[in-house]
Amino acid sequence: MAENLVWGLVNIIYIFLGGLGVGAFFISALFILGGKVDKTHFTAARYGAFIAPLAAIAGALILPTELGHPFRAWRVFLNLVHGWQSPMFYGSWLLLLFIATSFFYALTFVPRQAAPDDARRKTRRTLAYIGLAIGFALGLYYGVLHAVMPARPFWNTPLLPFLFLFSAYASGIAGVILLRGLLHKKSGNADAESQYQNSGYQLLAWILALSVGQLVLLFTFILFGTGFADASMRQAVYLIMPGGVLATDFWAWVVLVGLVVPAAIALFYMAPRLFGERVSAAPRAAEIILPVTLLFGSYMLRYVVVVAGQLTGQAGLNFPFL
Amino acid sequence: MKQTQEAGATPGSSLPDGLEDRRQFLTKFASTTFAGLVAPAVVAGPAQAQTSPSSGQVEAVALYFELDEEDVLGRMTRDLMRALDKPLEQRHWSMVIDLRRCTGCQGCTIACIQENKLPPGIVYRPVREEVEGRFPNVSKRFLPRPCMQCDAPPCVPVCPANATWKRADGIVEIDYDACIGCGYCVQACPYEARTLDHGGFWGNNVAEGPEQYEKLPSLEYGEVHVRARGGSPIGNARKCHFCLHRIEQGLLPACVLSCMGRATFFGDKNDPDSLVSELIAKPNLMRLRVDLGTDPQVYYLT
Repeated sequence: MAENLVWGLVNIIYIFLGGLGVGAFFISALFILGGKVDKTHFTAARYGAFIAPLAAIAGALILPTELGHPFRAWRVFLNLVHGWQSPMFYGSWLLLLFIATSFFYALTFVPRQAAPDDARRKTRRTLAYIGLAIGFALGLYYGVLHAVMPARPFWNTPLLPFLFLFSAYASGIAGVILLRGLLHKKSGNADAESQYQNSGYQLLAWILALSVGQLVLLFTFILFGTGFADASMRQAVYLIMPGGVLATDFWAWVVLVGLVVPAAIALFYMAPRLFGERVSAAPRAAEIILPVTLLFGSYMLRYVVVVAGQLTGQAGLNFPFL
Repeated sequence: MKQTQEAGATPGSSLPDGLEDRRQFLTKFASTTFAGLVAPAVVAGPAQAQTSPSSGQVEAVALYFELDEEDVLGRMTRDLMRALDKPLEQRHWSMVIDLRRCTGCQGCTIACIQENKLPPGIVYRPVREEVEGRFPNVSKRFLPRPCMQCDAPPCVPVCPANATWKRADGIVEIDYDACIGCGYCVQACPYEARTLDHGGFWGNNVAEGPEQYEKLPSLEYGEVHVRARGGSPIGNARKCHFCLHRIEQGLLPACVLSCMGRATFFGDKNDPDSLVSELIAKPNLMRLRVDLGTDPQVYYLT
């Protein structure tokens, strides 16, 4: 398998890190912009604010190692005449702008005494809006990059940008949940605890929605790919169906561990409040297990998609003749 | 049998009229070719016209002996000369491959590797062997697959660094100094025509380092690039370019010349008198993956 791969692990890790950054910014901005911002919201927003630029910068640093000529990469940014036809041109600029925005956004959280209504509030909120827009485009870009090629049937679906976007948002939120689970110190204060549970509930709700959303997209992809598409698309989807080389990776890691398990955990701990109007509190174990499984599944999703795409089309399968 | 003579032999020459004219033609042709080989030719605009012989002389070549049938290579060479007389934007290079004649000898593959000094891992023109049918009704098909030089190339718009484009004469060119090696064009090609050069050398497999012949530059696109020094095209995307550096000097592509089955034809599609134009009008014509909208310019006869 490996010898056919033009885009390998470096690219997979890059789009995973980029997605993680986009998602972390997403939840951070949402918590800052959305309604009443209490202390736990702000703490969670702070975690997201720090994850976002770090993940995006890490991705941006690792990517040039797989270029044939890393020191010519600046050409992409200056390719203003013809670049508009290439998704990679857009993505490079979007990533650059996202890194800049998320970096300055993170700076507004750095001082220890930073609070929701401090002097940096206006800057923080403006950057949150800007970063939400850029992050949305960047999250879609990671899918668009792959989806625009009819030569690779597995990728050639408009569902892919949204699959990657949802997965990106979910990974960022998972990162925030993980940091909360690792760093939260139980205080004796009942108010503070209930605030913590409340913001935790909101995070779980997002995880549930995004995981279900991804499952719906994957279901649609498989339904159409196996039944209602042309021969090359059907051949492509068989890679992840039972018997295909990537079937185990897909169903075990992407679907079960990466989507069903986190969704189930989220639903389980949301249930008291969702169905019974009682208090919903996820234990620390859940706050660690859910993100770990989700992040692993999110990484495996990118692994399966990037590898499967390169095994379809002309490379590795029968050359369809006309 | 064809034999024509230019009016008026050279006075004082001991050779018959026809042979003298042929000698004149060969002398002029050889000297221009030599000049083109010695000076690195920058493949650019219409400046090429002065190096190609005028078509009047080409048509009037006197043959030394009688031939029952002209070799298609001679026909294609004359087509090529005629095309080079035209401005660049009026040419449209196309290739026709007759699958009935292809014997699967892979001579074109090897000639191409030789001409372009390709390293291990890069094959511009593989010959795909494809088995059809179910025993006992099994057959084998050989399919040479160069770059299709598509008229709607999917590899061109995806390049983020503006390193590849479609020339006015139809060939899709790569700028070896601009390519960043991201591989997007490699992914975009439905014919698997492009590959990334990862810097291998044949000498690494059998000797201590690059062999002497590998240290010579290839003259792709009329430019001098020495791979052995570690620069381009190592790290670049590479592909078949219809031997652009050869056709610009009036030489047929290496795969065309080396085809022992005379299965590969090359010429200017815009010229109604050319061999490829005749063949493209045949009913048993086929192209690959037309459904993808790439409009490939390599045609197959089946």
